[in-house]
Amino acid sequence: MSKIKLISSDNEEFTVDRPVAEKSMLINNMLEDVGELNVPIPLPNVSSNVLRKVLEWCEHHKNDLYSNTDEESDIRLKKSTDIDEWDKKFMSVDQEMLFEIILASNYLDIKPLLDTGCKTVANMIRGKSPEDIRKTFNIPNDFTPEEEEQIRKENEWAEDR
Amino acid sequence: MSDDPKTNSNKHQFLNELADKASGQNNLSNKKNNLLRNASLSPSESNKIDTIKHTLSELPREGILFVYRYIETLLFKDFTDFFPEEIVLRIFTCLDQNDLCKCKTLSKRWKRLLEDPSLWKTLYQQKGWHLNPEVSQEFQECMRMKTYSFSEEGFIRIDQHFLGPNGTIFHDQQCVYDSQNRPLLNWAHIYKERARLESNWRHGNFVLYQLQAPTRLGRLSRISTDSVYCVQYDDDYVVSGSKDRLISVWDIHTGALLYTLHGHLGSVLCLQIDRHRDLIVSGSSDTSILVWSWQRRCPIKSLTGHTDNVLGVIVSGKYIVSCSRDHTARVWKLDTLPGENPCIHVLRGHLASVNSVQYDEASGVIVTASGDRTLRLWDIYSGQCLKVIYAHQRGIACSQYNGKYIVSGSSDTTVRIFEAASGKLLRILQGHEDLIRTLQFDNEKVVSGGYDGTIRVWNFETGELYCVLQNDRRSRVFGLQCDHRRIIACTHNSEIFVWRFDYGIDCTFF
Repeated sequence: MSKIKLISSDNEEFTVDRPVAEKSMLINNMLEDVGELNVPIPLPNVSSNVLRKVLEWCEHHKNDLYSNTDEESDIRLKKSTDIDEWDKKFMSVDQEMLFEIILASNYLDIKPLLDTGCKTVANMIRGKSPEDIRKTFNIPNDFTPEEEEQIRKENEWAEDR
Repeated sequence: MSDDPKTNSNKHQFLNELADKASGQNNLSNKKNNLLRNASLSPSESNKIDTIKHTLSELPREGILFVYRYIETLLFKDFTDFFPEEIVLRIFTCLDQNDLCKCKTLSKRWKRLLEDPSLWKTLYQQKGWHLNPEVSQEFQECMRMKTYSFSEEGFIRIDQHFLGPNGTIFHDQQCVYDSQNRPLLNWAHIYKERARLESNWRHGNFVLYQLQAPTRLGRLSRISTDSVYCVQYDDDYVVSGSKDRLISVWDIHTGALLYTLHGHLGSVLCLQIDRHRDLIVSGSSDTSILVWSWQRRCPIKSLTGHTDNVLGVIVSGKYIVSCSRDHTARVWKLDTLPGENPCIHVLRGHLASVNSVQYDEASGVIVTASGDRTLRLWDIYSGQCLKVIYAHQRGIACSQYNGKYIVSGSSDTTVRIFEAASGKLLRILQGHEDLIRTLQFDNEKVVSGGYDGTIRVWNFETGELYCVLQNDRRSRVFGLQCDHRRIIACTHNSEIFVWRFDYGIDCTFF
């Protein structure tokens, strides 16, 4: 099986099987354009510790059928909130790493990983009180209590389930 | 996990928990010391940590709490600060309206991000809700005209109503302005109104009124004993058929009776209207089907052949399909040459009265429902029976077919949802206490009415009962039609009820 070499922003070289690297649409398209590539591919936006993590995900998911998502199934995909067990464990990292993985998957264009990342962040919000969410993401409250109350009132319609 | 570090006498435990919190996990079990004994730390970094640990051990608890809060600011980041807006919106689309609106109270930045029209547009589409394309087109047109009619700096927010080119009245709430002060469709508003409409259906919040026939002196109850068997409506008119052999045409907006059509020699049992094609098609206990010109208000054709009450009639494309108590359904050509027999198929096979007929033009499949407890699928071109579904424990009184699903109502008091292609029973809706006489469904809800005097609204997906609508006299419900805004139903006590769920809701765009 042909191997692909990748170089992280901090100049660490990674060698992976081609199907693993091809989980990234960015790399996939690059390889499609040039065919065989013997020189390492530089990824100036991804550091080695994040790239290692992302490649771990690609390795695990290398046999997944990549659904060529049209707009409609894309919407449905995002709708479902469940994350598979392995991914859940994979995403159990500190917040900074989680955010870096999301950024990297966006840059590398690995849609399923990006979705899993976004769902993981969404799960940190779902059902939580505003105070808890502020703590989780260190959001300073720049509303006066009156303003906050006003917004809450305007949004009462949404509480109906 | 305790959130209050004051209660932790053991600092190591406290730091472990901090590590767990940073990883977004609440379980303490497998993550012990991950952060503290990270192999990737250099010796000098490890030394620094030892120094910090030593310094911490000398601090009072209040000091540690202060450090703890400080560390939080280092470890926990506002992702709206960190991500490009497109990723932030992607995260938001994973959440529901309740969580999103709650997040508007977090900070001004969050509020601004959560008011992004494209977010609510995506959420609206996720719900599978439809938007009226003509009206949104008209809105764009109207906004473009507005933009050009004001100079760049002279453009002001219009706090008033304005008129679209096709006569729709738009108001300021329906539009927002982007950074260049260009007006856009306010999707947040549209989503909210649609969600409120949905909530009205779920909770049975409605305004009920009745269509009133003009009463003459001394004849107060002129039609009060006559059953209204069927009712249909479009944007402007309600048309009903009744035991007094009349078809009545009402103004849907005022509720006033406009005129009546005379032609049948028996009760008008079923009808369908299509104003765009200038058509009313009605079936009667006189065994005939009449095709009327809507504009000329007179019958233009009579289709005969059934030998008993005509119980159901559908006009679609080039065909009329009818069913009868004579155990058959018939397929008729709408347009025929002089002397040509309009009846092209007699669908035989049912062992009892055929109470309901449905036709899907796209697939060319007819579905009939019968007192013999079966549903049958037929090919309109060959007239062949394609499938028999043994659907209910007693006779079937009503059905609807949309090309994919068949929903049927029976005197076994259940409504059943079938997948048409496989004939598989998907759900049984239980709750009615008597025969289910009429129903309609869309991809969100099933609305059924029956002899128990109730109309029930169910969630199509889950089968959950949303609400039960009753009338004072517990009149048997004979016919109904509904859309996303209202239900119009007729009863054996000559009443025509309109349940409006859109009261106070801006339905301009849907």
